[in-house]
Amino acid sequence: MTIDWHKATDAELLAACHTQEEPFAVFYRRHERLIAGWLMRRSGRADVVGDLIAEVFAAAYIAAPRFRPGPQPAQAWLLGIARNKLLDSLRRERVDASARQRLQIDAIRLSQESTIVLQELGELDPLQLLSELPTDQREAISARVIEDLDYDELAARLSISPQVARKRVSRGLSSLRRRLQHEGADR
Amino acid sequence: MTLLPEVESAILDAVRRDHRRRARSRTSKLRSVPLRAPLIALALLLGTTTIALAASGVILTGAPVSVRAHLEPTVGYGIPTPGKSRLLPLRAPDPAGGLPWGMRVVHTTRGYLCVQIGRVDHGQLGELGIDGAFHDDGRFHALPVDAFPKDVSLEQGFNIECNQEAQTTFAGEIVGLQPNAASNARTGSPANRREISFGLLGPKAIRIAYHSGSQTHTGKLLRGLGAYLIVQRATSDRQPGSISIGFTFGNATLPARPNGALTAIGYRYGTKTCTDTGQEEILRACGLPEGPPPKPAPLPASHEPLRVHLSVRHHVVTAAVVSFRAPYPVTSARESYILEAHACHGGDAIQGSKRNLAKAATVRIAIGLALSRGCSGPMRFTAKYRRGLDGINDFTSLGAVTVHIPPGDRAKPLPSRPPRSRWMRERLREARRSGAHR
Repeated sequence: MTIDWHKATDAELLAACHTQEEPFAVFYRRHERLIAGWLMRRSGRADVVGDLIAEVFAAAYIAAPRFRPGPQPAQAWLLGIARNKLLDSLRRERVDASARQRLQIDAIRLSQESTIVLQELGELDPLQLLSELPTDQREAISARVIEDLDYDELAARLSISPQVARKRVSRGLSSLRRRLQHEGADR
Repeated sequence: MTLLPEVESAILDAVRRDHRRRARSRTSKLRSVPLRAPLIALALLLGTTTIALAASGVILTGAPVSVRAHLEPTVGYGIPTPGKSRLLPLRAPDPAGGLPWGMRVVHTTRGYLCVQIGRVDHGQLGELGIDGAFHDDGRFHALPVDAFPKDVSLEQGFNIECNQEAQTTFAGEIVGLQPNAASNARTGSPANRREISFGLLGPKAIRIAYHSGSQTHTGKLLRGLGAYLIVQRATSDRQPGSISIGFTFGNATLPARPNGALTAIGYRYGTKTCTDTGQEEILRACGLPEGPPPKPAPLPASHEPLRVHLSVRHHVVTAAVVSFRAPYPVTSARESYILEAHACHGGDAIQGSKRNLAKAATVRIAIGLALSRGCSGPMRFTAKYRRGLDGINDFTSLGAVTVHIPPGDRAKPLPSRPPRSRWMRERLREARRSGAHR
């Protein structure tokens, strides 16, 4: 029986990616735009973002068996990796290469076309996308992803239970991803 | 459909390679089927033994940490000088218990002094197979003496810090090392990160104080070297992976200052004792000379003709080298030849030699990066000989050359990852210190 991995959840893809090749390919394509746009908007440097994206996904592939499905969506997990990699790279004044070295991935040389795509992605205004979300999801995502609050802090701020906080962030990130993919299709 | 085909292909090729490697590993396991039952029994026995031994404070030993091969004794940092590495008799407990932490000093063939941090078992420095390191085998893996671990870049430095021997006093800090002390430190949970303050403060240091939470404690200091080691849980506001070094010159005109967890360092100079809390004018408080150190006697003048070789391919300068005869030898990292030029947007573009050279040998320094950073038009390079004397750099000018890129050709674009290594930062720092000689 052939599995249609495009219909699989992120957690299913991550769980299967060390035993089959296709799940991680699907996972990569599903989140490439989110990570590329996030890194581009924060670094503003198309010349290093190619290496950073590769580093983030290489780290995600290595860590995939440790991903535990739960209320926190895989996008938040992946964005957490991206944030750590970016901070680390800024601190060291060079793109972190630990995961790429482990998987023997060489430095990425982007074509001019890819560089233009990245620059366009960097111009997407995430706040505008955020503002299109329902208020409860917008507040939850802003506090969790931008302010980096943990779920207990987030729950205390919004006067809700940590479970509800997780659910709001999860729903909001799913909506954001759909919108980002939609914007990509329009381009 | 992918946005960035280059990235996708690099990632998916790597995943494919990893799957092939896993498949080979599975095949080799199947080939050993007749041995599987006894091996499983042995593994179970060892597992039980490990748990029992761990509970009794004993830990099994695994394979030593892999070491770096192909290092040359006369290039870059050199190699550890045989017989000169020493595990200091200084132990710091881990906040979660288990094997204590220790530090080893390693002298290299090019005059660097490195400090290596790890866990200590039976007088050996090593790493632990926990939190994702060494496949979580729960064992102690010794860091071989007189060798550098394979997974650590000396330039990036994580559980190892190298400075030139002339700058032997420093107060450093590593934030982010895991309890496993692994050289490839991207393992383990962020919540387990350790904040490690360590240093060599020299023979004049007599006491230290450090903060732990809101409290201040007095720390142990190994007399002579003035070595100290403090291991604490990293607080959430500290960034992982950072390392900061407040080192100083070897002539004691500028002693190391408190850094990391240290809040104060006490020194004794003759009969005078003084405390540096990082706030006061420590030189005055300690009665140390405040002016610049005396300049060394200049070297005999030497003017060397500089030759330029440019390789041009498809109108792009693919390689550029300046060469000249070495009027003075380079015997360690304390000496080197450098080329200085003004970069396009201010600052200096500095390229240097990183290897030992005999007198009259040919010095070759690549200037491709400097050309890429320069403005269009001719670029003037000045060759200098640098020698470190008691931590103070002295420069002797040798000559200058102006490099013209042929009309219609252009410098190679800057690489996507700026190759600004610690070595390069050291050169920049040296250039700033040498401001007076220009």
